[in-house]
Amino acid sequence: MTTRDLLRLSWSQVARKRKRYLGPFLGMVLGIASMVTVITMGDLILKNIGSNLAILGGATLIKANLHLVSPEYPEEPRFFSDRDIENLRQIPAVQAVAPSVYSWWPTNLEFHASYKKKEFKYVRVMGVDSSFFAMTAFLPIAEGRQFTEAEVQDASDVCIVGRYVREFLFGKDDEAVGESLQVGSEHLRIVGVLGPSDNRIFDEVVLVPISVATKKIAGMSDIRRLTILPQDIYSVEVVHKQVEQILKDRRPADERCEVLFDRARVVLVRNILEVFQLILYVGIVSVLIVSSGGVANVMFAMVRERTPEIGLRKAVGATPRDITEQFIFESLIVALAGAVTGIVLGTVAVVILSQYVLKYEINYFMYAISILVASLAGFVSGVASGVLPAKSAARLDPVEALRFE
Amino acid sequence: MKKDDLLVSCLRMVLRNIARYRAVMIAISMGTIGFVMFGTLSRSVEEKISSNLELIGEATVIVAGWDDRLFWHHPGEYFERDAQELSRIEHVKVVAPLRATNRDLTIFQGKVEGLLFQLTAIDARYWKTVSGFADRGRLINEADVAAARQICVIGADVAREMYGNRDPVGSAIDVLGYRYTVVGVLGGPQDDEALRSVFIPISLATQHLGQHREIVRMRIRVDSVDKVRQVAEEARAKLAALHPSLADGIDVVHHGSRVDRVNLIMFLVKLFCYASLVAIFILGKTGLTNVMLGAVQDRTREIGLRKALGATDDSIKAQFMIESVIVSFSAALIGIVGGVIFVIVLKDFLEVAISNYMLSGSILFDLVVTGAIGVAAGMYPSSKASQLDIATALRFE
Repeated sequence: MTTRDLLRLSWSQVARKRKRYLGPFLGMVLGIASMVTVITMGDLILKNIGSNLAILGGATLIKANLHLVSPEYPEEPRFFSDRDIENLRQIPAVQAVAPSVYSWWPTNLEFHASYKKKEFKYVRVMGVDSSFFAMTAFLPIAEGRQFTEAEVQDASDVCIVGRYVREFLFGKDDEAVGESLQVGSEHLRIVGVLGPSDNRIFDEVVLVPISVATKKIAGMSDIRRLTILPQDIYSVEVVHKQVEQILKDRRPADERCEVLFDRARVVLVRNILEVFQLILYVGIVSVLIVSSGGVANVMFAMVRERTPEIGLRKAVGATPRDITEQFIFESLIVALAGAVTGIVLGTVAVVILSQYVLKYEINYFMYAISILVASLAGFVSGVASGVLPAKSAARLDPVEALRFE
Repeated sequence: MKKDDLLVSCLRMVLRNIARYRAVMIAISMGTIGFVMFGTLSRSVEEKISSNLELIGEATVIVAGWDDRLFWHHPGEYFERDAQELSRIEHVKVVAPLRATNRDLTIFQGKVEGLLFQLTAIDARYWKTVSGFADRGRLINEADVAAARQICVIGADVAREMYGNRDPVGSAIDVLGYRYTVVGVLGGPQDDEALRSVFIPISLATQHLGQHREIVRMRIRVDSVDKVRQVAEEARAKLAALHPSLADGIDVVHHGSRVDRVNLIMFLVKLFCYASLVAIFILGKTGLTNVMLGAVQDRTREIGLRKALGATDDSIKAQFMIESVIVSFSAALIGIVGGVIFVIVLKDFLEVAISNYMLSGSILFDLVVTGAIGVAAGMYPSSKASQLDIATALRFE
């Protein structure tokens, strides 16, 4: 039999038996659609949970502090130099390094912010650079904007205020952005207002470019605190070790330099991710087994039912090879049709879920992998379970095959 | 036909046709295993994730204090009766009153001097609001508070800065001129306040702290993240009613953005779990419908033969109904046993506790649905076949 004949024969067989093939076809469609959806969405959700967890409570952040001998003498010759910061930025697994100076801990500096005749007492002044905002994704800007690189470099007199400061000085209705605020002896133009954040400190803060704090505000000239953001939750320990080495190596032992991260939180975050990952795999494997098992089951039963037909074909002269080939093609046609429909359906589901429910961009690599895995599983189970019973039936004596019930 | 005759003949038919029904039974068992296993596990995982999130985020904690921004010390103070009132609000798990100094104390341990610490006077309820467990030693309990023992539990920062690698338990710390014996170190993820605190029994506070307030702050733990906003509002209203002249200075704070984030994470986890569960459910049940329909349809000829020999439509319907009930439920039972085995194996792997309620719930649900679908899918083609003309049924292919 030529391949063309075989193809035509199989096609017409599938078309004639379409009612029977509806079972395997449906199983295939649903199986592949769910595989694609579950794998792609699972990956997307895992990534999102990871980034959200890292933000929750700042679990991944590593903090480096230099302790003061006494809070009464803030002007001490102990600080992190530009070279320290530059060295830290060279560590490969470090995403960002943010130096900062605070008016609160570990100093006892006091500032009041005044606008017209109102005064917000004991405002917390904090000097930050532009990488600070990249690191604290949990610190949203409600009005205005962040600091630009140029403002940090030129030590421009600008500031971003916390929401309580804004509410107290300007009320709910008056415009705050663009107004000028007096903090200590400096006049600062407000360029932004912070939104609600995880840390309450930021509600009553006045953020200034770090260059303004170190150059223009008395008592805040030295950087004694660095915040380091590692690439992900899994690189925290490694980065911590490297940071410790870099900072402690070139410092006398009596300078109490601390490099800290929250081990308890990191462990908890990893624990959550691991548990979710496990249930993700359990889910994927379950769907895989149920879907390909379902397809195999229906296909197998269906082809077995056709044992008398196979006996008839053999009786009129078909060779076992002809029969096997015919069933290979039949199951291939069904599997292909099912796979294409299933992929379309799965893609629709993924697009709808990611666009309207999750509102995140899907990872196309995982999407491609999911299609590959789903189609492979579908084809293998579909074709194997279509061909195996046909093959064993083709080996039977025609008489026995015809009598098969 | 008598009922027991019918039953016996059905059982025989099932056993004789076991090869045909094998596919049906496999489909039912697999679907049931998947559903029972994933349904139970996903729920347990959700619970575990949510409790761990709570430890990290402290999203269910509300703090009631006084607004100290305008006056260095607000003149308001809370009393034990305020704590009692607050704990009566629905969904409040525990209210822990505390007294604390500013975070500016210098403390001593032998010759070691430590800066910028805080003395916090608490009772046993406090630990329930900070996800606290003793990293070393023990925590302050009710007996310590009642006896006003001069002991303390120290935060992790205190232990690190004052002791380094030494074990603090049993040694003494001097704060504000009083000496306390360290009985434990607080573990778990904590905020700055807990990290840098020396905790003493609240019964010592009046004498040792000497501030004008009976209670400075109250930490309130709510039993679920969804209720935090509502409880915070109620607490504010209640405190305002109790302290009418100082109402504008009452400061009730909760981590709004953390609540949102915890909710978002839980939403994502649930979304995945439900999506997978629905997928497994649909796949399992369509598989079962598919095979059952096929298996019974293939017996159209047999139905024709029985009719030709005088069987009534009703007896044929009854026969197939009983057959499908037998097949569906026995296969579902196999599936349930398999599912429970999987749950038991995987629960250790996932390190989650299984709620028997969820397990029995998902088993019951699956049993009902499987039974309904199995019987319906068995009945439909057989009742259609029994309506056929005998000759057509016999000729059916």
